[in-house]
Amino acid sequence: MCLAVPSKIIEINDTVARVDVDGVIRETCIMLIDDVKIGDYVIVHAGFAINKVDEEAALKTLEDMRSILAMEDRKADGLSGHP
Amino acid sequence: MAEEKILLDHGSGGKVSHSMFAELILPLFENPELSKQDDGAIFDVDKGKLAFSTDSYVVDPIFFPGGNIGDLAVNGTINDVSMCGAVPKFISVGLIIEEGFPVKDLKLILETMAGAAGKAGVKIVTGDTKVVPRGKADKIFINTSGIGVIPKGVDVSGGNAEPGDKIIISGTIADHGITVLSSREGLRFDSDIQSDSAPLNRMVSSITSSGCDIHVLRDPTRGGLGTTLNEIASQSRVGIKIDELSLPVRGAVQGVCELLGFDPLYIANEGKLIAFVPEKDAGKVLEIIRQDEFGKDAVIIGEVTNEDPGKVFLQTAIGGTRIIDMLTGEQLPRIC
Amino acid sequence: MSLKYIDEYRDAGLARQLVKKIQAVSKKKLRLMEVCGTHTMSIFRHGIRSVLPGGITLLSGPGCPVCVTAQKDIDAFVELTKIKDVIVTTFGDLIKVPGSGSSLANEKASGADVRIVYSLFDAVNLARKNKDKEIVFCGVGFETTIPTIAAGILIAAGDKIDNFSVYTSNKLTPPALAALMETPDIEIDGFILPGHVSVITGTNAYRDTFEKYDMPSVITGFEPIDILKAILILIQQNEEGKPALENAYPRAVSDQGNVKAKEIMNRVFEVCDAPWRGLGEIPFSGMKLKKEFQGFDAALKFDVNVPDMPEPKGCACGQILMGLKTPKECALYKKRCTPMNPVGPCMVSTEGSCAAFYRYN
Repeated sequence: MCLAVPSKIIEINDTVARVDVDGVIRETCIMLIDDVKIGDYVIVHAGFAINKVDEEAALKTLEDMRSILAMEDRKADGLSGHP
Repeated sequence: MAEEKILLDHGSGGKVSHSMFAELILPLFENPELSKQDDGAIFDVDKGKLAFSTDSYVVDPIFFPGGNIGDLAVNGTINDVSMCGAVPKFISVGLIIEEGFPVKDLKLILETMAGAAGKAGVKIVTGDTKVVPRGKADKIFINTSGIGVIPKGVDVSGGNAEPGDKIIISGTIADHGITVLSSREGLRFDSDIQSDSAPLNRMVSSITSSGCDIHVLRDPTRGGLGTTLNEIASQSRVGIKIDELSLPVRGAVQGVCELLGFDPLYIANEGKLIAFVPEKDAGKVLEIIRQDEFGKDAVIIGEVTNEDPGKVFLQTAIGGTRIIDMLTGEQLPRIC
Repeated sequence: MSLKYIDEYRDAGLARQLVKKIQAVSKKKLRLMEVCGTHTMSIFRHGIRSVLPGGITLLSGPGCPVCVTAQKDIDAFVELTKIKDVIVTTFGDLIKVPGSGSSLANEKASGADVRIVYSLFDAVNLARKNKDKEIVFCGVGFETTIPTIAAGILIAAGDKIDNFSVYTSNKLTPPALAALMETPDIEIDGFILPGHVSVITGTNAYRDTFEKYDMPSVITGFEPIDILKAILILIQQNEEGKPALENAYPRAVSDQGNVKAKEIMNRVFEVCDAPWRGLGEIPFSGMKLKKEFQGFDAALKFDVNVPDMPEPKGCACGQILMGLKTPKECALYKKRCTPMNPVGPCMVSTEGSCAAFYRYN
């Protein structure tokens, strides 16, 4: 279950923040999380931010995967993994 | 018109009705056929086939970014007639208004309708107004019917799709449905998404007069692109394959879809058409559509196959396939 | 279009490479279960089944809150709509779910005041604006949603809004996984664990279950890259015979989860036993209001009494939720039970296994 979309905080007003998803702006309650600031990405579920997105982890996941796959590909057929 | 609100009297057929017609409606829609004020409109048409279509509009809210119920009603019928390959000429307008409806809102709606008809070069030649007691209708309902003439040699139908046809869409999908939804009370989104409500008659004329072979034209309104493709697949007894990566969706529209768990393939469009064209003519038709002011983002999204007649398949971005079924019921915002 | 943290995890090139890798490492026949309806939807939407090797079967477990809500609770929601001056609020997911006789959508069509809300915030605000009405929220949710319901109740308590209440039917994921593992004949080779439930619970919440059953388990997100990565890890763990509990969604999930959200959830709710549709009673798998918040308990406020009714005859939702049957193996599937006319809960919710199967297969 649990649809939730990464949204960028653009304004904070006590426990309510305005968040942006590619030009769609709406209000979200931030009372379930600590230390948010403007510019942070939060995961919003049913009108509540339930966590911050860890940017470093996000990038690392993709990079790790790319490098592992690229390595495998080179091993397999001598080509670079990037299409 | 002196009144600020529509009264039951405005629909009575008496003096008040007449003054509303004379002071509010006629000046906006003015044309020789309507000015005669007969029970119906009388007009000449070219020899050949006619196309005739009707549609009722009950959209909520009645005003939304990019339009209102008025231009929606005019463009909608213009497009339905156009999708028969016809050149729309005359339109009728039936208004059902709730008692107490603000006259200034009505005026704005009628002005928009006149503007839309003028822009498309179509005449509103006959109509009717009824007023119902408060609560018996939701603000205003509009029915429009339209008549158009099919040029010689034009034969388009949902049953004409053939294996090998390329499928062109004239622009981004889901704009209208997402706009209306976002402006509904309760969802509270701010965005610059606008309805795509637009008349497509000129685009259709350019295509049908190009000398290219056109098999199917359809505007994917209610039920969205997914439902319309299913209709065509079953009418023509062919398979359809579309490519997810080619589907044009605006970022903000995709954003709202992600937020509410909606699939843009099932969201209404009001100013888009799909054209099924044999491969040899596809490039040319695509260029013609792109020249039109409402077709700048046109792309080829897929093709007709002779496998699995009646079924629509989507090739997903990751290289998988899934069946695109008809929409079964209204999509509801979900959290799961 | 640019949706940060979504688009890059839909990268077609990377996804296709992952698929190639999965094809290369997969040898054994495996049955992998996702226990999150949003995973189910995403798997269908991106056509993930169609790119997997033939030996890999994906099963949809009890992860759709709507599907596992006991029929009796649905009947109670329906009863609530019949009380004078009550406005029943619900998430859109729940509105078409049939109880033993009716559904919220049915009652709405007959004139009951039933409103879809997007957030608890909206339900509380409705109560604020309609002092002459009683606003009841149908509180159906897993760990992701329960803190938002708790927050709504705290807001209502703080602002002294006394015409707001919740009929709770909350569910917890780890006890359901444990119950699943205890089911005879169960055949599962790995769990794809729910990303957003885990945002709240943290990876640690699954540790006990994992250690007891040694079941390959991967927490992951909802984009194709996330799901393919989890499938790849589960295959690798199985092929190498090294089960592990892994977090493939570190951008959102930590070991300890969202401590503040859990604190708010535990301030308002306490663990209780709960009935799951199709699965029966599972110990410690629900959350009910604590004593000091019982003023917000719609079940107490309105004295809703609904009889126990048998679940629909022939409906295999329970077995489908446990992976013992696929929707196609249910006698009612596509016959008496369709999305237009659903019999069982798995056909109602768009993320229910049967509805998703019907739509995308």
